[in-house]
Amino acid sequence: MDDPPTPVPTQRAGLVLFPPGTSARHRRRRCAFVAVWLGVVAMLTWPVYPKFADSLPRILGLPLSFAWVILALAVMFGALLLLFLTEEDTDRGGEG
Amino acid sequence: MDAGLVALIVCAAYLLATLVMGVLPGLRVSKSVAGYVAADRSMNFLVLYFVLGASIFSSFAFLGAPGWAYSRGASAFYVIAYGVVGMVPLYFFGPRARRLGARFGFVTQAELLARRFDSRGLSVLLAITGVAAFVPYLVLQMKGAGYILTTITNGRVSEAVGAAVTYGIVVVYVLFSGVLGVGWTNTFQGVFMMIIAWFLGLYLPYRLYGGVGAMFEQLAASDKADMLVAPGLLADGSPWSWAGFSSAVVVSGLGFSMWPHLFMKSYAAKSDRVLRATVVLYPTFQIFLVPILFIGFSGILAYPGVEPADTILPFLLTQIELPALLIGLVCAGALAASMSSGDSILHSAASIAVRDGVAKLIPGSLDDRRERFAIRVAVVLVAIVSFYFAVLSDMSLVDLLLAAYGGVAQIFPLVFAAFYWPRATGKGALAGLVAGLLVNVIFLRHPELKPIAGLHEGLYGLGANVSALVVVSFLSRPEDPARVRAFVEA
Repeated sequence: MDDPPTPVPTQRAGLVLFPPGTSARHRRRRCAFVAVWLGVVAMLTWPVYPKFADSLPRILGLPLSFAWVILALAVMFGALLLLFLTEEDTDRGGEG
Repeated sequence: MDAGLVALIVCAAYLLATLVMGVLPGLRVSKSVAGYVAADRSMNFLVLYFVLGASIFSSFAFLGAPGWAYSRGASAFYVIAYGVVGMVPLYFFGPRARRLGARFGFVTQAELLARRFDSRGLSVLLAITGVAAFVPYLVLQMKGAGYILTTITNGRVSEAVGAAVTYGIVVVYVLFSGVLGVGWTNTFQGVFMMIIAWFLGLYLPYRLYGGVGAMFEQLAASDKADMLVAPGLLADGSPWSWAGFSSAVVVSGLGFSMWPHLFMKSYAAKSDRVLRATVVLYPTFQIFLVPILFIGFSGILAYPGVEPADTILPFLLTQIELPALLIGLVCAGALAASMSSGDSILHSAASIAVRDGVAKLIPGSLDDRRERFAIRVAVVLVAIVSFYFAVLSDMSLVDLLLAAYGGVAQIFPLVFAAFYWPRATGKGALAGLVAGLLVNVIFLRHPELKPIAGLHEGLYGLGANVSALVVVSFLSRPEDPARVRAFVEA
């Protein structure tokens, strides 16, 4: 007698960005951070960076094109720091 | 005393200090593979911070980045730009990887992906990709170390001997202490590099132009003013397109945290919080590229025509009258940049070759003690192969390295899907990785085939990768829900 066929497992078709039970506050905070991150990517690529690609004006002695990249670095650092300081300690797992 | 000899003595003292700092931690780490590869999952914030930072800042940062600023102007801002966005994914992926590593005993990136996708083939392919990407990266570090020692001794120490001595020391402490040796030496080297970079980056513009602002003013008033306008120039002096610059930032940014030697350090972190804090403070390491670029810009008007451009830093050292002791310290800083990346790469390449390659091809062949021994043998083998390419071969490394970065970026969709897309399957992941790597290599070899000229080949690879991953996953049988849940809910 043939073995019964193994049932095909079902799986969600879409993305699961947060594990079940993640608080709405945590989700909002992380979504906001990802938006800032994408904003910084835009700052450093076409079409935003070309608007700040000139050597003038000089900012603290640096060409605008250079100062703009350092500004992006500062924005990213500030956003990361804010996210880190406002997130609860998740060492016990669950909201990575 | 001869200035070159003084500088050489300083470098020798630095190498000795590195050797001691690298060997000592090996006395207290456990004798297991987890101890050798993941430091018994005990790295504290200070060590992890410098490991992640110093592993990335290599000979390319210390010699290549000033070379780019010198010859290609604003193109060099790309080096800072991709790092700004590139570390962020590790904030999200890292803690999940760390927890899964602690739960399942992973110490490499491929182990995590192979389990999630239940695919030994994927593990072996990732091992091959990883080692293939690491060798040219290691060769560059060795060449950089050899070049430095040759320069300060006016050729009395050959590049081959310089590279052999430097990497002989690296091999000793990597063999003895594993990742913990890498950690403590990188801490020492990281501090050293930062001090040297800031000193030279501020001193050279001051000495040659009267300050950083004055340097850029004089550049803007010269016939080289266009070099300050982004996205700068290509190596042949023609303008770099925005398509090329932007796609290079995106591909390198995605590939940045996917470098196996960087990703693997997630497993070494003591806690999620330590890992996250390290990512948060990473931009404080990144800012050290700013003075590094000043060094390159300072040479444009003062010393035009230096060839090859990557030698601008050592060239400037020979032109500016600095005390021999200081020249020795600067060269030691450049050695630190080479070694702090080289040791991490060497350690990771060997671990990956054994854990993800050999052990998966011949299951059950290695117990913990044999595996640790095999990794040590692999450390020596990878070092010898890289040394061969560094010294005895004229192979084009730039081509290999560019292919390596485009290749490493192809791991990103797999890691993302492993954590966030339950429907992703092993067949889909394998198809995606193969398609991505193939397209990347084809367009790298035949850039004339690109639909949009100038766009980074890695971006086409990522397009093919994601398409194949999605289509093949939907066409194949879903993975075991319990196994997938462990990753998606980690």
